[in-house]
Amino acid sequence: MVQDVGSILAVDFGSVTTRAVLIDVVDGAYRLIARAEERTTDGFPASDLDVGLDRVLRQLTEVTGRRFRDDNGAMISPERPDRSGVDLFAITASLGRPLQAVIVGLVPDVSIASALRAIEGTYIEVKATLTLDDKRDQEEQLNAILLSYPDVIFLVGGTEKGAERSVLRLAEAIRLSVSLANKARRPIIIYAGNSALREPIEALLGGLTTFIIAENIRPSLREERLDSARLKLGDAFNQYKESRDQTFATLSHMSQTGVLPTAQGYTILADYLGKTQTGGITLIDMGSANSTFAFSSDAGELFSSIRPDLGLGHSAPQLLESVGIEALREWLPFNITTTELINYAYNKSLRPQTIPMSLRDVYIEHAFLRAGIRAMILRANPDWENTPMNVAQVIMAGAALTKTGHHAYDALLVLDALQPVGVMTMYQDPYALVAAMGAIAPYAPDAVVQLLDNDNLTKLGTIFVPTGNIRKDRTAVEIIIEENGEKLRYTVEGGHVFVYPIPVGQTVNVRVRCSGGIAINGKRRLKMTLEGGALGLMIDVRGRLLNLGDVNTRAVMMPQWVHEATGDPLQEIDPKWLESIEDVQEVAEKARNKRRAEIRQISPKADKKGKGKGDKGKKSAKREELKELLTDEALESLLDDEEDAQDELGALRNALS
Amino acid sequence: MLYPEQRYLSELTIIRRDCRLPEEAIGTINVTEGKRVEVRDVVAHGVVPSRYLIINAMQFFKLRKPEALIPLLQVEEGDVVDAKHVLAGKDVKRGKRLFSDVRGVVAQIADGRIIIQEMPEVIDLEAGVRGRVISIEAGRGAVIEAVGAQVQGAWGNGKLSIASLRIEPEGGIDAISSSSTLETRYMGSVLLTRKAITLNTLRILSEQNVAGVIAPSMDANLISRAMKVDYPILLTEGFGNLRMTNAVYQLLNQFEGIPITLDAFSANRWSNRRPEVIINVKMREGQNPARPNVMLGFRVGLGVKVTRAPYEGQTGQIVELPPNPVLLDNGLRILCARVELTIGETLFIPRANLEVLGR
Repeated sequence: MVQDVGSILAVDFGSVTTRAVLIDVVDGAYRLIARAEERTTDGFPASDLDVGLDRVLRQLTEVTGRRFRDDNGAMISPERPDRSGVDLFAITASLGRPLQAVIVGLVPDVSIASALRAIEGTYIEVKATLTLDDKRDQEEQLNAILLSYPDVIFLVGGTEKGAERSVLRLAEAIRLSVSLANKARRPIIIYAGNSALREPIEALLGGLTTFIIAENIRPSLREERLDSARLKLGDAFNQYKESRDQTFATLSHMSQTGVLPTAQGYTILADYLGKTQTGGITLIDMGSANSTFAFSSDAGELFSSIRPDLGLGHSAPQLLESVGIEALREWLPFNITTTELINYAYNKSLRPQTIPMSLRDVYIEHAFLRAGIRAMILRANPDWENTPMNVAQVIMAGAALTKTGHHAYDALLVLDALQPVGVMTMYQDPYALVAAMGAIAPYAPDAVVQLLDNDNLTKLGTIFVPTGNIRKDRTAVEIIIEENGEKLRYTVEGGHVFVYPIPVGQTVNVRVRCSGGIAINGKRRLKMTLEGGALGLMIDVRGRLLNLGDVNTRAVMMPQWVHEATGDPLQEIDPKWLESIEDVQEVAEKARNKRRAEIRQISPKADKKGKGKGDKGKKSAKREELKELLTDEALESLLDDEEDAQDELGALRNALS
Repeated sequence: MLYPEQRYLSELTIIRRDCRLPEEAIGTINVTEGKRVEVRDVVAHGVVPSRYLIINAMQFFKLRKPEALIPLLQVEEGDVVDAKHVLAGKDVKRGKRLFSDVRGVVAQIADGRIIIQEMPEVIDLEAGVRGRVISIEAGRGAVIEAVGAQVQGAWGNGKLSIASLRIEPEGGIDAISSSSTLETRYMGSVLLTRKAITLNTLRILSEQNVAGVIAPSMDANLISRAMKVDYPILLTEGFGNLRMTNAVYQLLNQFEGIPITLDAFSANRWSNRRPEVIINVKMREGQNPARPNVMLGFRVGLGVKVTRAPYEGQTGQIVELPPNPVLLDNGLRILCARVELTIGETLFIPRANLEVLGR
């Protein structure tokens, strides 16, 4: 697939923003030439993605003078001698509904586990899973598949020269389901199991719908091969996008890559960087509808998590539901009712592009961001709950992590959410260059390497995160910065953040000495030459894991951290926000739970009393009768009545008020 | 960003109404491109798949081969059967017979099994507007172009109704229940209220058998209740206790007593349709309805509405478009517009928080 590619145009269609990057060869190396962004135009009034594409192309033309479309509106490719057009036009997308998938495999811990790892790279929502040890009967399995309305069925299982009959049995179940589905709505089937079964399975399923074969994802118990399946899942994503949106279909045909999932770039890049560079690499993107996280450890292990249920805009209510109210409150420096948080989340989903205008809203927005990222990384590796990740590089993307308007503020948000340790270089990708790299990697792998080597991402700077016996307001780190022959000494106390700006293109020598019991990557002393960046040097001496304390502590600490990082005036929390509040919804929920418990519990006292009077049998029979009567359904209905009664009380209160 | 978000509010415009079946429905389209449709015309007919039942007929009749079932069959694939309908047996009236447990459609007869799909839910999709079909998406729906007034809302509960618009009484909807006489004047009407919906409001509206309600807001924790009521609810602003934008109220107010289409479309995360109110109005002489302006960009003098607290719902005019990000009181540096609000204040507002209400 590798081609002789010069100029590259990569466009990423996000749920809120459409971003474009123009890459070309300058002095023998690929470089980012220009970038542009505009609002995604799939909604009112344009209802046409092409309008947004046209706007970003016009911005690029204004900057570079290059024309991208011919007089008929078609993309010009390959590049013409007059330098109009590009050699490669790549499209990535994260907008729209994820693919709905049913995964069918032999064993949950083997083939299904590999299948779940294979789908991380594409926006896929697993609606149902079917395995050999499934306890459901055939009818239930059939309905589980059909009523999931899958776009794709991913059939895996059987090592090479391994199980055959069992895989065929699963394929039979798929055949029955797919044959019953309406012909216009039949899902794509991707088979990535035992290669010896390709022919019989194709004979069984091939005539029913689009049937795609990928390499066996689990050739042996010890080996896992995901690349081929990931590529085919990407193809399925493209086919799905084309079938759902006419503009995508047209664009896809103009592009050499088709429409690839934005997230694919993150896993490809994490994997590549993990293999070529030392230290852990983290890539993180929190979007409006989806979020992506990929981590490649020094040992070459790849952890990734794509969450179509975590986002700060379209998916804010799902994020709230996923992380829970308390996880958000832990990041807020004031008291807040459940109702206010729920209203916030739903309003964000109605107008995902909006930006907080009040201080209170900024904290709420960032609480969603921090809690969402933590949920995402803990899904990828639950060990990080107690053991902080050690990273050497962090690349962050998405408006929430790149557009606070202050690089140190962006960095602070990522540090809060990831809580990494060690010495790390931080980069930002505000224009979806990472997504572009994922799309162009198969066509121009050199471009990816050179784009990374030539600092085409926005370099923020270097962050030191010491750990150990850090005590609040006690000297934790001493720093000597040598700049232009001058030595500057600073001390940073525990519980604080320190920022020293080093402009781009400048280098400084830094010596760090940690106090007793404190170390950075296991060392008490460090000597480094640091290159400048948009932020410079940041030292986070707040300890790991971050102790956020109670709301009153947070009300002091959190504004202080922002102030220390940005240098902007301290924005104190309004004391009124710390007054205790009555969370009506929480109280009602607690009361409901209590009532639920009471109803479920048959009083042991009654039995005891009954025993004394010799009517044990009668009481016990009553108890059994009650138990039988109180099926879950009956209990729910009882509770509904209860809720109604409470609602009536609420209504009465409203009327009185 | 050079282009603002648009949420339409217009007395007279060219409306493109996207009539679409739910995604899971399998549909047939009843109209053709160019056809004129009336408000109540059924544009598409959809069937939402339901559960399947597998009946092992071979086992029931103790047959050795699946082919042995064929002479016993009393139904064919595609037949609609009622509960207790005879599916197979030598004689329909006597002897050993296999009955259907449910009302449904015979989906497949193979391998000695009869598979029945329970009767699927049927959807008749109405045009909701008087206009002309301009495009069709096979199996899914049609786009109808019409002329009329249009108000796009923020949230809907997924219901649709076509009924006359009534303004709430002076004391608000809550005053309806406290009236001593049996109140019936709102029955079958769509009510317009300026106050946020409460649980009490939902109760009263249900008791009054209204055909719908247009309100500025409600608490998001009422969503599940609101989804259960059988009349459409459209929120013009969003969630919480928000006031209705004056311009929205004033526009709707002038249509009191006139039949409106209240499409409280419930958008999920992936759809980009909006709930809306459409009113087919007759054009007066000299009137020339315009289409929404796709290329409408930010410019000085543009009328805008603020969509975030603390100024949400306020309208004003852009007086300056600074090219660089502006430091807000909350510490963010954002690309803004300076807006002179109708309440008299002039301030910097992030461009992302501005909506345009019309051309």
